[in-house]
Amino acid sequence: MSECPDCRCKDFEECLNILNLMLDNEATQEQEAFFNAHIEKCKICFAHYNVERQLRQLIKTKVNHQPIPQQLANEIRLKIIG
Amino acid sequence: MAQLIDTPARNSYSELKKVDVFENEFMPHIDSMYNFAYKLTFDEDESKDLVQDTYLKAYRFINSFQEGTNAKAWLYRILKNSFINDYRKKNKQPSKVDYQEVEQYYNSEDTPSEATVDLRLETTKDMIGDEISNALNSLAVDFRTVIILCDLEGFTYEEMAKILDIPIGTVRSRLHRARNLLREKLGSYAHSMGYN
Repeated sequence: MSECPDCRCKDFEECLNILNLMLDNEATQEQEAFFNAHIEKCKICFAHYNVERQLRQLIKTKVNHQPIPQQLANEIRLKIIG
Repeated sequence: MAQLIDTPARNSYSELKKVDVFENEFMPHIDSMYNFAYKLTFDEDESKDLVQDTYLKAYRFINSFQEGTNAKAWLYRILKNSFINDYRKKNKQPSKVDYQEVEQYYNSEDTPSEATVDLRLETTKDMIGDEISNALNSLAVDFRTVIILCDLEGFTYEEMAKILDIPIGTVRSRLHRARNLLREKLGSYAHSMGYN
């Protein structure tokens, strides 16, 4: 267990844990309520939240999309259905 | 085959129904399947083979698939297993390296590292797709996979656990580690914020 460098709360690691769950849409309502209240007073957790959010955004929007070879779907259909 | 699809055949679809399920539930995912395959292999021909194998297996075991359930996760699981069983066997070297890297990081899984993260991320904001893709591609395959499944494909932890045959707790810790590694690769790790 580590202390938050900003608000000195005792559950810094738990905050980081919940923050990740929230961004992955895996947090419970209680966890979300706790964290939303928490970032009002803790700028470190708020900053972490934003960095993590940006990182996910970067991945989502900027990772290259590989164009699928045109004939692949039909080749597969041909093999399976004939 | 037992390890590929371990649910018993629950249905006996007619030939017509099989084609219907194949077209309407499996084929719509071919684009993301191909992209997943490509991000695993980095090779067009390997990706085509992998996707084709996946669809052939899916069709052969179509009676194990319950219509209306999560076809995408089911297909991803087959593809992932085909990759491990067939592709990795053919290419022993890369998987050997990957496992070493994975081991190394899992040994230090308990070490909290987020506290040292550079909170600005300024250097990565304007990065182009190639840089982000290269950083992602440079991760060991197990770490790359969880990021792709979670951030690109939007699978839940539970779905990822099923696709990868690992406990949810491992999904979480692997994702956590993968994101830390990615940030590191993106170069945003370099500066300390000065908070500590």
